[in-house]
Amino acid sequence: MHDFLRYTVLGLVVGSGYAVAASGLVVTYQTSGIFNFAHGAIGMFMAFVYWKIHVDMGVPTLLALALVLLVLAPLLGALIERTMMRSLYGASTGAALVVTVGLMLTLLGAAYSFWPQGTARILPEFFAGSQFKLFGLVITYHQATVVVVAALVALFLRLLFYRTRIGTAMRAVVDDPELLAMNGANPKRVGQASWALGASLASLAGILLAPLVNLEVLILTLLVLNCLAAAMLGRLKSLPLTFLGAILVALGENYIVGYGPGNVGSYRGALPSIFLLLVLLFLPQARLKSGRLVGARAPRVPTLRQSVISAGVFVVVGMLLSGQMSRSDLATYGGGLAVGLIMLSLVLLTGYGGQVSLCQLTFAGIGAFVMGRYFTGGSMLGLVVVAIVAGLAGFLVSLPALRLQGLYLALTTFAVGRGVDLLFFSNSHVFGYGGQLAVPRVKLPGLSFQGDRAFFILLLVTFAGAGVLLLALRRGPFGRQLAAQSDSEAACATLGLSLVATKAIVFALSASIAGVAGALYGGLRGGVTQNDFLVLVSLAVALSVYVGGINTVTGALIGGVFFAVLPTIGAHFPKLAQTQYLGTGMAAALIGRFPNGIVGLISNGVDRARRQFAGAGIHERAMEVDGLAAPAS
Amino acid sequence: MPLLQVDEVSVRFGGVMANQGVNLHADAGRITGLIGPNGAGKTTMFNVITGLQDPTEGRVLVDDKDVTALKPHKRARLGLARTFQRLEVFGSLSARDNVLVAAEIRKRWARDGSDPKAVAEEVLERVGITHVAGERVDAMPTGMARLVELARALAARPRLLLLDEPGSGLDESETEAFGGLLLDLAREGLGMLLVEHDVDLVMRVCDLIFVLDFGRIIAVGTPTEIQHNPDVQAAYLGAEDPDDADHAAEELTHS
Amino acid sequence: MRLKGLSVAVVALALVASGCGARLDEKQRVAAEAGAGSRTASGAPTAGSPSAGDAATADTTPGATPGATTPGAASGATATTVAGGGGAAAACSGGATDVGVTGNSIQVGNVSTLTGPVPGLFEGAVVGTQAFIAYLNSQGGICGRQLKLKVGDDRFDQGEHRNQVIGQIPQVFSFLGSFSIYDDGGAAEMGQAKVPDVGYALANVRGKLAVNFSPQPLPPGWRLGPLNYYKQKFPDVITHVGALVGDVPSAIQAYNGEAAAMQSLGYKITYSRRYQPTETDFTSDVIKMQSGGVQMVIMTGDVTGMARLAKAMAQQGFKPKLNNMAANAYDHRYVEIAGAAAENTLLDQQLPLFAGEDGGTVPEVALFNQWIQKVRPGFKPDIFAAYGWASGRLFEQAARAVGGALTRASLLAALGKIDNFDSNGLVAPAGPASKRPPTCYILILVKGGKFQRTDEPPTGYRCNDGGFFSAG
Repeated sequence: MHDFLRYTVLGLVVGSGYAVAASGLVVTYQTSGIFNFAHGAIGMFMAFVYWKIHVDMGVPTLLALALVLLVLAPLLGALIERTMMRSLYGASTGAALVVTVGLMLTLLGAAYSFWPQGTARILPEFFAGSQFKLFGLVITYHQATVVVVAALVALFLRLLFYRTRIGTAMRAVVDDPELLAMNGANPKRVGQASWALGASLASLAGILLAPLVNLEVLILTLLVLNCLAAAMLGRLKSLPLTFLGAILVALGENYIVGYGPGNVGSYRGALPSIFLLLVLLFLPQARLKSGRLVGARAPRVPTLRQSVISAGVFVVVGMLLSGQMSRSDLATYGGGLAVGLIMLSLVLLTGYGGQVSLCQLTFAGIGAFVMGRYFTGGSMLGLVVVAIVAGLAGFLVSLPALRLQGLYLALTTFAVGRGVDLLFFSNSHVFGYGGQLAVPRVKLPGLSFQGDRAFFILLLVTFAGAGVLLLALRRGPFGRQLAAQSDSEAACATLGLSLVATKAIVFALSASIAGVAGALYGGLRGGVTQNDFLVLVSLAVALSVYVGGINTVTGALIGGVFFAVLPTIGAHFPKLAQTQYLGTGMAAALIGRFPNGIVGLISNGVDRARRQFAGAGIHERAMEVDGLAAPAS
Repeated sequence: MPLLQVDEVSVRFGGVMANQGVNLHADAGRITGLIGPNGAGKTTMFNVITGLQDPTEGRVLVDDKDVTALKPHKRARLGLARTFQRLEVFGSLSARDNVLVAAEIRKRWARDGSDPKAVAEEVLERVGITHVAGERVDAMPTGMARLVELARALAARPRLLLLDEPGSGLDESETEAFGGLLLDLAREGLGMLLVEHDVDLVMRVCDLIFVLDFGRIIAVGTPTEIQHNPDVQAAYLGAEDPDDADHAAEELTHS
Repeated sequence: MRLKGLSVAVVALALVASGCGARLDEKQRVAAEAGAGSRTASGAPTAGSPSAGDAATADTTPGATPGATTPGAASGATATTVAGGGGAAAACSGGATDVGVTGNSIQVGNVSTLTGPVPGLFEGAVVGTQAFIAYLNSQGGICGRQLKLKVGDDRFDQGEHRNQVIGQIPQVFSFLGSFSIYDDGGAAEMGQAKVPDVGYALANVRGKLAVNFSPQPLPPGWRLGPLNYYKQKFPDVITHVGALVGDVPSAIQAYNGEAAAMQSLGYKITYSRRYQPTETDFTSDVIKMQSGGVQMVIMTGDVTGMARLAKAMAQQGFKPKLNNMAANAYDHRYVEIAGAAAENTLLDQQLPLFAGEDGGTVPEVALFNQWIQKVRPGFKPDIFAAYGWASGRLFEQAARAVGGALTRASLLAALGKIDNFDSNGLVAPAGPASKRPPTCYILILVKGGKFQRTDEPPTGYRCNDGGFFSAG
């Protein structure tokens, strides 16, 4: 009994920390409509800034706190709003997620640059050294402060949103900026205020938690993942429920350790994800949304002839280039092609189908696992089975997703990905001793691809073939249906379309492709490790394909090459090693401005050039002439 | 037997009553009007009828069968189709593809051996937008896009078509033609429920009109009856949109 | 950019530290000591060279070297770096005798994990290797050939590691000091190409290669010496052990070895849990252990995690008789973060206090630290740096034995004769040629916020407390 009380009190204390962090996340969502993946990163960054000011430069506590929470954090928030978030109002879920993840990476890179790891930076607790006992558990004053602050934050937010004009305006600006403008408020100003507030809350959480958790870049940034479940319980709007969720997660973690039989305590880390998944599954079903999103112009789909020719040229050029490549290059660019294939699956699912999946690598991992474990001979049958198994996995994942849309769907896939990471990929029965599994290269009867160049060519052909098939799909009835469903689910429903069936099919199909890509990727490298398919890598891949261009085959190719090559650039310039984070981060963060990525930039540029040459006022029909706008897309 | 019947439907959002005790019906081959000032609850009614919104009370019946619990796509398969007040076109597709996809979707659940391409061409021709069929809808002016939405709904071969402000964005002559189209369709047996602000159009094409104000039906009748109904006049004179009220008042008192 | 292996990154350190120790069975130890006696003091080819200073520490006639004399410590405690059988210095003339070798230079390669989700993970290994090379070159190199180091970064990626290795094989004479979580990538290629690989192997595949020579070989298993010591010193403690293990294959592997060794001696692990590197609060584990009567705590994890556990224990007033963190807690960050809670932590490791505390008694430690600062001012050397340096020493010893006619084959042959190596005292003696792990160790206690040796011997190692427990 004594222990039970201790676990409970501990849960309340730790949960309060989660609650402070989660409430900032909810506030940002409520006031901007954007789910900020970078919330933890902002908190982390400002915690380091606070350390710099207070510990390194010696500024007294209160002054340093005021400086960070009331000046610097709001400035950062306003800056973020101005540069990245403003263009996201009304954007698709995928774009918003990509931008915030990009922001997270940018902040990570910046933090690593300013504060290189290797030295321990200690952020002292408030009222350090003082502690007291409650129900047998020793609590420091700092921990008690966290609880008090959590309560105060709750109170403050309640008053702000329901009793003040600016607060009401903040809530309103998400639903109807025009109405707000008509009533005299400036939506842009209100938006900035919202992000300033969100950044402040994030910083508060960072400063409170860093002394308890250690001032470390990655740990603090990822803390936000534990808060997702709490925020979801409150449906991203109810602060009281968010607090409850935070406490429940923390209590659960403790009870699992305290009372879990056998090895169950080791799964404590998976609890937030499981919790998140359960909450998402049992959410009441959302109404089908009507009202159009401000969509990005999708590029023209090339004809069959155009795509086959482009594919042929692509393969031939690739083959020629491959003769000049070193083994190392073949491996790098081959990897780019394999990842590009995974990105094609995302083009299908997200670009065409409008469903955001943050666990595509999970299917790739399943594919590599099946191939490596059960088809060590590398037979083609293996690839077929991989496609089926991965497709089935995709179907299973889509089941909870069927009821959900947009952000909730994306978060569900994230939770699934994380769950699979922790419960399946890290299981030693799956990836064996040392966490590695050898994967054979597939072979056709009479043709072996053991040679690096041969396998590279196989990847070229596979990518090109998949691209052509994908475009054919897009041109056909199913592609039309996907585009229609992506544009307006409500309209599709009123036409008699069962959305559920379409979703399941496209999820399964895209998972199949990702699975095959995973098996090929494994064959390319000779083996895979459990870390190759973490959900964080799924995020990185999703980012890269958006940077390339989410709705085109070319975009997938650019994304794949970008993903594979960027790290090698960092290797050649060791001083710029952080460019990996910064480069990808900033590119992704610009997706708000350029929703169609690099391909979009190119095609817009070409369109503009064409218009200039052809004179103003030309009818749009002229652009139908040939598909050169976006090569092979 | 009416094709569609709405039985004592009430809809509550939070603390607000969007509709209360609404009764209305629509028949095949007839154009039924649903009018009322802004915010009267017309679009909400449409959402309830098509299944995008659950009523707090009441029932919706199609062919005398209670469909209140049916999902939107199931209701569509009974022969309901609609257009939307805030356009829900498939912006990234061309006009032709918008209509084509509707025909393809229909083919899958209707299994009637129709040729979607032929159906699409026919409908485009019917609505008179063949000349812009290849253009992307999100690049079109609103009025044209509304016609695409209409064509798309028609491609589903509905028995009852719900039209939510299809005429806004059309000029005089276009509205004229549009009205003619509606009458033709009615003659061919299609039932329609029309929400419109253009009082001219409504009076011209509708056989029966329901008037909504503050979520309730305040009057039912033929166009003539409605024009002389004092409650209706009061509702419109008290309307939020001053232009609306003036014009409506004029129409009502001078026709 | 890959955000991979976050969990592995954070806990990766666990592996090394826990791994830093290998075992020996009694017979082999005795043989090693015998071998130590047979080496010749002046047989060291470096005798006439400016590095004579090193030769002094290379010697170990029992009693002649500091630290070798305390009872309980093996007399062969400091083995010679001039391995028995190394023979006299070979003649030094020679030109471009093999890949990467010219008349005045030797190109060596290194593939380590430098960037990735946690930047600079094994950077110490490279720094240590560079420090040794700088020192060696300042002494004139080997037979007039200066060493040049080519560094490849595998960016925490197995495929990339393999790429880098394959890329370097035609360019370098030998690999030196490579350190990576994914060092199995490219192992097969190294073996096939018969390229010497002098460096600490983490992956079994690499460690088993005929071409790999590790300054401290590490087969699966654990050192019994410290376990016997604890059993003797704290007998009632060993039946109530609590263990926290990072949920990463390397840490789990190391823990399994340790647990098996413990069980063979009658230890009972009453509480164990695997934790995710992203976990930040160990208080519930502390509560569980406290009420469960745990008296000895072991942890295989990353430094900051161990510091967090120590803090949680202190806060809840949980004072087990023995707080035995993994050897990688010998790190300035552990005491900085844990503060007063680190007090009385007891570690065992198979190197001296290489960060400088033993500089007064082991000249190699002082030399090591001196050159680290020259090559990377301000860098605080970690265990990876120590292994980097020791790898350099091993390479030097073999290369000097070969002399001018330096080829891969001749180097491999020379390496194959070095079976009693301790880098002049920077690592506990072990057998690179036969892949024989060390059994000697020292005990480190945290006192007053500093690391210091405890119990005997004040210098040198404890070598008589037990051998090596092989775990499959």
